[in-house]
Amino acid sequence: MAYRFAFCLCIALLLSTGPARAATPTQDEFFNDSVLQEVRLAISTRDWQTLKDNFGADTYYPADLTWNGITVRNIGIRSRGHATRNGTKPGLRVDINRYSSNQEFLGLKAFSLDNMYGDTTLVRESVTMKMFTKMGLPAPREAYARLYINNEYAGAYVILESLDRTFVTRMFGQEEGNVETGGYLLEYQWLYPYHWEYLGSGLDSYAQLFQPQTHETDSVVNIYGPVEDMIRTINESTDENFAASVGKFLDLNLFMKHMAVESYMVEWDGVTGFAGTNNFDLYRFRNGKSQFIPKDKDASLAFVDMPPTYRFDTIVLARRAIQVPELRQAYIDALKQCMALAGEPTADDARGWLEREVERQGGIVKPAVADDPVYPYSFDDFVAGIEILTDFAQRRTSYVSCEVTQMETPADQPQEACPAFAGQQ
Amino acid sequence: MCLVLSGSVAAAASSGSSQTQAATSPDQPPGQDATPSSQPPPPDTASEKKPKQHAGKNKESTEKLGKKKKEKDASSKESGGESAPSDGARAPKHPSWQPTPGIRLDFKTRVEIEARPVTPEASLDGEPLEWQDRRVGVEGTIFKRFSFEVSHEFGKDFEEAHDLSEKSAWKEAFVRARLTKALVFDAGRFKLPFGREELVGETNRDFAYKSLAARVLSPGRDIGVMAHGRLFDRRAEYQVGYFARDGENGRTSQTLGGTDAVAARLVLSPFRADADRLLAPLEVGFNVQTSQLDNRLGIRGRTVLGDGIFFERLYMNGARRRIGFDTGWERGPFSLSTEFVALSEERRGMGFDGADLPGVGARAWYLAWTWALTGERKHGRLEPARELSRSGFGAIELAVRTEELRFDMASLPDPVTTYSTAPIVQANADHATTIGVNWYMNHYVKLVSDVVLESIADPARSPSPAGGGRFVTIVFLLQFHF
Repeated sequence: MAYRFAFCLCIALLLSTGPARAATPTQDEFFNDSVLQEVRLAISTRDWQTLKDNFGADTYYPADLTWNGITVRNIGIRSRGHATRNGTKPGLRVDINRYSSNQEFLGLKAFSLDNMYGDTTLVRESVTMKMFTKMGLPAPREAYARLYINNEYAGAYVILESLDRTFVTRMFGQEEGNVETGGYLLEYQWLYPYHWEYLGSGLDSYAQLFQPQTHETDSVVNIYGPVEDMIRTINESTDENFAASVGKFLDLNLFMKHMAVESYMVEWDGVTGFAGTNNFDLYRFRNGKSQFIPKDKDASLAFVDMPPTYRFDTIVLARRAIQVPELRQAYIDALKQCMALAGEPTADDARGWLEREVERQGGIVKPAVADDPVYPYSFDDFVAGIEILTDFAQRRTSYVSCEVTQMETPADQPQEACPAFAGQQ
Repeated sequence: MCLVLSGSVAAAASSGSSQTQAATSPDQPPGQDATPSSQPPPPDTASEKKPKQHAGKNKESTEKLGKKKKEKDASSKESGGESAPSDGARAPKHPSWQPTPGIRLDFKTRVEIEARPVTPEASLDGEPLEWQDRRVGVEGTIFKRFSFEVSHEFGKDFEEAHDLSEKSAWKEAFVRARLTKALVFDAGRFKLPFGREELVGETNRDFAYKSLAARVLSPGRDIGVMAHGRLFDRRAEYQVGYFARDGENGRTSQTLGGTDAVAARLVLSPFRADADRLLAPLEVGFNVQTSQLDNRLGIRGRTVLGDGIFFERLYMNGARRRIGFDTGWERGPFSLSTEFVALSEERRGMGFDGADLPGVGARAWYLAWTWALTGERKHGRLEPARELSRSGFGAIELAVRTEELRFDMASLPDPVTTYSTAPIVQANADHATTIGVNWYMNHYVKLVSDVVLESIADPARSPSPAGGGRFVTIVFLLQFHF
């Protein structure tokens, strides 16, 4: 009898489904940029001071993260950033699974808290990423937050989605995000003004410029062999075969679209940057084709009159691509699409999307900036910065439109005169 | 306190014992979860009442009595279709069905419920009230020479839920042809013959969690074929097999692990025939396994409960080799066991200019000791002399294990500056001591209570960086099984 009871008990447990779980917030809520988020970090006072004192180091410190009533304990934080690193308002990388390997936060394994130290408005990057997304290109999500360290307000920050395997999975699917057999995400590291010249067959030259974000310990040949192949082809293919040859390594139509967004939004430190190529990740799909992913766009919306082919002549890839008629047309079409999106009104607001977006995002982050104890500018600077961006949004399309008309005009026809670029050359 | 509930119902699971223990049961495959505890010595046998009896003879008498009991049960099933207590005092171990003479099916289940309080140092919260293992299965015998076993997992245990290792829903799924005692063939899915504790079924484990040597470095289950048998009056058991892949312990749902695995295990009982000698129960095992990794991720260092990764996996290219050595000894209420496993993985042609990178090595060992405080004879799972449901208290067992898993330093290709995002590849180790009390309420129910004290050599790569890499975990495991 006893064994029958025990057997029935086992079967009952076997068939039970376990307790129901309460609904949990989602990533979309965390990256919801229509509200000002509140992120709290609890960290040893000594560790926080050490992090600020040694802001140049990548040392991790344990902390607890709280957002929207959810607390994730034992995460790791460290200082982050390049030119914007500082000990007053440190940018932070937040690694959820640094110490507890299975730990996730809303499915995220990491994100960043960007201090946007070089942008008085804090909105340039987020608005630009929004434009990439509206154009159908992969871009990280961003949202504004008040950051509290040990319950003390530490300033206005931008929450950045990490460009990592989780991002790859979200954008391109599970197979591409597979730990072992997924694609290769490479972060471009600016070391010197590089213009996509062929650097020779030695892979170490490319290894210095591209840092793997996935497959970090894969064989050197697997990581960099295709990069070397691609750059050699970019440089050595004939004009006639350029599109077909390079097209095996790079989705050139998407590249032209990427360039169009950067140009329209005046990202002057991007792929065709003023000091060589910069601020992108390169994602290589399992089929071998690569695609550009935007990053660090906090310098964009800079000069309203910057031509859309700024510095194309200096970057081999851009210079050669724009000479291919089909790709040139794809670029022009993408610029027109940018203009259309930027100028898109709503039923009750005649202003274009870009102007409204600047105002909307500025309005969200404004109270956080007003109280920010370590904001490196004055609040007047913030207000003035938003006004400059609004002006940019109002006038940018007319400049680009003129340039596009010029590009479409046959060489033997009279060219429309566009205003000369007064910004940095 | 945060609770993690898990359940499982295991098929062959009522089995589970050491490889060598399996030797005591001729119908059990060496190396599968088959164990003597699935056929524990009946209480009226000499095993408990005559602990000084010759160990080998003791096992044989147990076997004969078990066989007689089986026959008796079988005959009762022929008439009643279900097993019934053979002596009116002891319940049958699991439901069986004999549809026709010569064919017999045994149905086995296991459910486990695990509770883990918060680990303050590491701030590890278990997920509340979540089932893990719920396993059910069936074993069958057809005209003595052929048998099969199939078991299915209905839940996800902690490791599977967090993708620490791949756990197929189908656990055992194999057929067996027994030509002679010295030559038996298995084909299907089962454990690779490697390691002492890895081959112990979960119901027979002395601790809530397997050792690091078993769980991290030993291969686990996979699909293959194997020959095994017993030689020299059971003084030697051998197993040798080929498997398509090299075990689910070394891979996850997203990593493929090694392929073309060959594994072999030899267990010697050199003093088996020496009647009253202290060394008679001593068993010594030797294990080897090799497989191929073609640009695949290797093994990573996981903590005892799997919450922390103290050594990240790296891409490997070349051979993966495992070697192991183990001993086991059981006498009266005591048992001692120890195991050593070493793993090496090659990284051929992975550097600049196709240069080989130094391989990655890992080593693990443990020493475990148990003592049945209530005096029962240790033979895999304890059989309480006085069950809780029969005005007794059950059996109480004290268990202690100390162990270590160490990974050697790896290296990255030059220029290393390129790899600032790569995992840290300095050597690291996890040293753990587990102190447990096991309460066997009756044959079907066991409560395991373990305190695990862990220390990671590099605190920055531990779940407890603020605690200097040291943390304590308490685990409770309530197990129902048939």
